Amino acid sequence: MAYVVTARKWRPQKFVEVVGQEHITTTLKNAIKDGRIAHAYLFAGPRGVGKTTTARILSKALNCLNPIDYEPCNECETCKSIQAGQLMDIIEIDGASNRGIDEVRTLRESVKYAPTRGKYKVYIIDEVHMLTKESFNAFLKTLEEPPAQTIFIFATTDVHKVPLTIISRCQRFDFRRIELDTIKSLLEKIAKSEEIEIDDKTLTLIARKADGALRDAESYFDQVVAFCGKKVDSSTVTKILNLIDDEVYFKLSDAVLAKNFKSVFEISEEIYNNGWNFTDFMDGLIEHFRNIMSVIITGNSDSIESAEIFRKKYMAYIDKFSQSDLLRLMNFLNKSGQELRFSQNQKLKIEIVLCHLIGLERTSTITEIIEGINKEVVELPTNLFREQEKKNYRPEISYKTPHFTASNVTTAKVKEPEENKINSSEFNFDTIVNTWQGFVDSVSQEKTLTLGHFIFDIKPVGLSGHKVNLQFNNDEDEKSFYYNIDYITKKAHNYFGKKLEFLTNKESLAETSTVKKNIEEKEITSNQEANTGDEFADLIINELGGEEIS
Amino acid sequence: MSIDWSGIQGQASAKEILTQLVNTSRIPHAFLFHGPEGTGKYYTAIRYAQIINTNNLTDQSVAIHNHISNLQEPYIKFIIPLPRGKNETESSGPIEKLNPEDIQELKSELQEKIKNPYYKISLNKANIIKISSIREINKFLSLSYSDVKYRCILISDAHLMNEESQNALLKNLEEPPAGVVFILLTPYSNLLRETIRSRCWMINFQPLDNQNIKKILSDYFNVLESVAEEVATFSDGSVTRAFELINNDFKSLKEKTISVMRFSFGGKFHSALNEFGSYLSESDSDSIKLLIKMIISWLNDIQKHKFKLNKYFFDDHLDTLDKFNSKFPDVELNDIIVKLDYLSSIIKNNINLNLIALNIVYELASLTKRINK
Repeated sequence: MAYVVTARKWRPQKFVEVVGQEHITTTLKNAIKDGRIAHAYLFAGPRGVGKTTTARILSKALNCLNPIDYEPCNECETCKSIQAGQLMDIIEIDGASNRGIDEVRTLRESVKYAPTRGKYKVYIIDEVHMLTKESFNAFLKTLEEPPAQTIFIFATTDVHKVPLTIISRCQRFDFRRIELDTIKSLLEKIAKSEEIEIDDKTLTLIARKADGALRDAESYFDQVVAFCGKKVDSSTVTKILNLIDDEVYFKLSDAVLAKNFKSVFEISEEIYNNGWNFTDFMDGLIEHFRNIMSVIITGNSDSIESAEIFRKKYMAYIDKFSQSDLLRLMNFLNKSGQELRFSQNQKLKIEIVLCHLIGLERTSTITEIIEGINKEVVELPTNLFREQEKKNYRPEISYKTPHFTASNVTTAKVKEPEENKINSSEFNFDTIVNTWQGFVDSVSQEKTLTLGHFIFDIKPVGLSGHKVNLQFNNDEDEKSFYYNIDYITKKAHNYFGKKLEFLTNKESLAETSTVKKNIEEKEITSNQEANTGDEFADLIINELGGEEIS
Repeated sequence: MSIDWSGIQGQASAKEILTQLVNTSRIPHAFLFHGPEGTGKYYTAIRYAQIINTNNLTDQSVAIHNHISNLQEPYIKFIIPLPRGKNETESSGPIEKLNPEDIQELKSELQEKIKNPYYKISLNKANIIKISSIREINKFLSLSYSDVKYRCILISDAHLMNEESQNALLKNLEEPPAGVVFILLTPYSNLLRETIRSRCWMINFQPLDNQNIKKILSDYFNVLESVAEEVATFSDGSVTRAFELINNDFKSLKEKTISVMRFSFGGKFHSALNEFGSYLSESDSDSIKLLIKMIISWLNDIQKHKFKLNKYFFDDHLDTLDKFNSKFPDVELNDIIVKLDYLSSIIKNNINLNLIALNIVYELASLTKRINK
């Protein structure tokens, strides 16, 4: 006998053999039992889940001469001739190639003739979504009230392409994606009957790759068997189907726990060298963390689609991750997964993403913090990565108070000199030095883009009459500064109450550094002047840079 | 049976799978070779076509091998994207309405490809595989030849088939006559219809490693060894990319990258923009993509350097990396890479390149807090 691919050889011939679609087969059987047969059915669902098969079984069950428990017997004359494609009453049409209005018109012509041998005349139209709009419309009248004994069965993967007017005239059945375990057990059965050695891990690999489609699973199975012969092992399968090894995911989650940044680059190198797809890897990684999550929440590994040996590994993660951490990891991965899809440089991008992932530190939940406060020991999570993430991922914690006071100080400093304008009579270099910070602040507020980024680096180093000498960090800053000299002169006039001229200081570095030191010293002394008589108040003002409000 | 894969660099697993298939003499009728551009898909396909047609008669085999490597019909059919001719209709042949210059170009490109299997054919305005090319397959299939065991149909850049072309291919792809092997080549297999993919035996091609790239560049493109060495690191394992870098004067590109970044990080916007200006004036819009890629590579190096890994893109600028990391230990790389990526993806929307340059400079400057966001 010629070789027949598994998917065709094992095509179910009875309702009970159709796996994973019990909700549909039961309904159909009951309909036949009660004699409540609709004149049009629409089978929708993803590829390879049994739409065409069910349609064929239904047509057989309807015409079978001696049905057993409303299943086709597959032995009587009609059943056999249907299987051989000889019965004229069962018409199977490929909607993708016969999509024009002319074909539909021919079909309409033939509808009015009664069945020749069987009880029903059944039209099975596969891939019905490919019919043109006109064809669908030409169909409407016939479909609503077909002659008695005529039944239409439409099968499609893209039900959204079928007009609503057609859908509403049919009884619609939605086929489900077939579960991993169902696929696995079926493949196991096939392997057994064909005497092929195959282990659980390999079956899981194939079933996972098939993604809920039985036909795909069976054709992968064929490929694998063609390649390996009677004994199939998982490493070859991984290679042929170009699957990402699950070990990689575990390596990564271990790296997250151990904060091991180096392994990121090893992993990305591994993916790259094996020619695996980075987006596939990302999807797999999200699923991996989802699995860990489900283990942690449910406490068992029942809801995981995975091979037995990995279930144990998942169980080992139970008290290593916290739920909120996982949520955050998954959230981040989800977002990055999107970005990765549109990235032009996937390898570079994924390395950064994974580093970031490992860097996401542990959080404490609010209750933990409150408990900590009660005990007066607030255990802040160890910060192993950068400050930045703290802002992004721990909005609930704001223990770093020094930051607040610091900003208070600067605003206080800014406002002071503005309020009491400097008297021109007592104008000297010290005044400029003391108020320079305020001047710079207000300039950088108004001209952030042009001056803001370097104005802080400019220091006044000397004064002679109306001429202020300035110290620049580099020529670039100097150039930019003089581009805006008009604005600055005007601003200085307003601010210092005096028309000033700005000059570049060309003196040697040694001198300027001593001047700088002077300035710093002055700043420090000005800060330490606070003396209110109260020991603690002094401490607060001096250490935290506060201001007395009377 | 010993199988001669010599000349094809890398791709160990693809070679192994194909060898196994030849040895068990189960030749599937449809393959889909997928993997990055410039990794030797075409060369492997040609060689495979030769291998399956090898028989005991040496003379005959050699003759057939020559026919195949010269892309001669009826031994092999090579389908590539073609430009659209003037007044072309559905019923005209694929090259019937092309003007003489186009045909001349096509001829010379094909010659080049025959001479150098790693060469990338680039025809002007050829961005689709025409349905007429696919229909020609029908004609090809309806005839049979006795002196060759397997005839191959090679479809290069298969993802450029449009919806109709793909549908027209389905029937033949599923059940071709005996002795016909389809080989589809594409870097973007996910752009093909699911129905096409599920009919083919997928074979994955991996990015080549640096040694292989170097060898191919010096063997087939006569590139100097020193240049090949430098480019290989940045090539992403693709000969095509590597060649693109060489065409864009890699050395100066690298220098430009470094200087643009140095100026941007230092807040010297005038100089940074000047650098960009001089770079843009002498190159086309795609080259800015390369520049962005280089910048991202550099940022990636920063990350690696932070974790003391010893494999960098910019090997010769280690001190710069060192300085940057010690000066700015807390930079946020993820966001900036997303933004740079975005910038490089909007170039195809015909955006003003100076605007892109400005954005890049400011993004980089924000990294070192030269600009407050």
